[in-house]
Amino acid sequence: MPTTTLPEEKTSEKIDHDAVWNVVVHNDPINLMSYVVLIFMRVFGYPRERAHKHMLEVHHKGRSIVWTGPREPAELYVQQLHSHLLLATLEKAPAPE
Amino acid sequence: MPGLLPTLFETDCAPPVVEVSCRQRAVPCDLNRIVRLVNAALPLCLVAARSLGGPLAGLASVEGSIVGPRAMARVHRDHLGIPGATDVITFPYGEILVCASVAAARASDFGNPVTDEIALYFIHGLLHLAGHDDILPADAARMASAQQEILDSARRMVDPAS
Repeated sequence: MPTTTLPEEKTSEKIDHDAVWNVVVHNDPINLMSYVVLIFMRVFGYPRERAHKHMLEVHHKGRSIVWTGPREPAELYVQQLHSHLLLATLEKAPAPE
Repeated sequence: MPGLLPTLFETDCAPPVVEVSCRQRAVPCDLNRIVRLVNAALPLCLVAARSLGGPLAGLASVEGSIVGPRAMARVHRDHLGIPGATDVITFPYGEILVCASVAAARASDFGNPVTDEIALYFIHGLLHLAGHDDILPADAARMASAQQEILDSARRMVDPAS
């Protein structure tokens, strides 16, 4: 009886459960600065001063890392920011040295 | 040479860049003239900032927006907890919002061009950033007088023939 040897399957991607992700907000020409401050306060619960700091970073540097942490809540934050019409992306944070 | 140059811009950093955009269509206004009036007013507001110590001179930019009554009422409610539109809201990080419909109503009351009324509100916002306050009646009167003088000076620069 012939035997068949199946090739060993290898997954191409390992899930790194320890990885941390950055939620990045990008500058846009539409939203008022005060609106962006308000959304940062509502979505992340940031105090006004911290929300100002991130908004000004977006305004002057084009982007700001507004939150860093596990992938699942980071994705949720990006979705919430999109629902408020902010340009937000998810980036893998560099591994610590 | 130190000591011989005019002292108007004698600050540690460059003056802020003031940008104005119009985000409403209900009230026609001359955005180009508003930008020229506001930029003509800026050096005078910076002089006020030097004596009053407001954040204006340290800002990299000031973003001005002309908005409609609904947008203004939303910001008024969300940030100040007050319902309804208002004429101008200034944020200390360098954002000034002016409501075009409020400006149009007041401009017709006083027989002024709406464009110049909107510029006056932006000057009001710049003076807040310069350190002016209008909570007490005496301060409000001082501020009203300063903003009108600055608008008049800006008009002389923008309309030299008048």
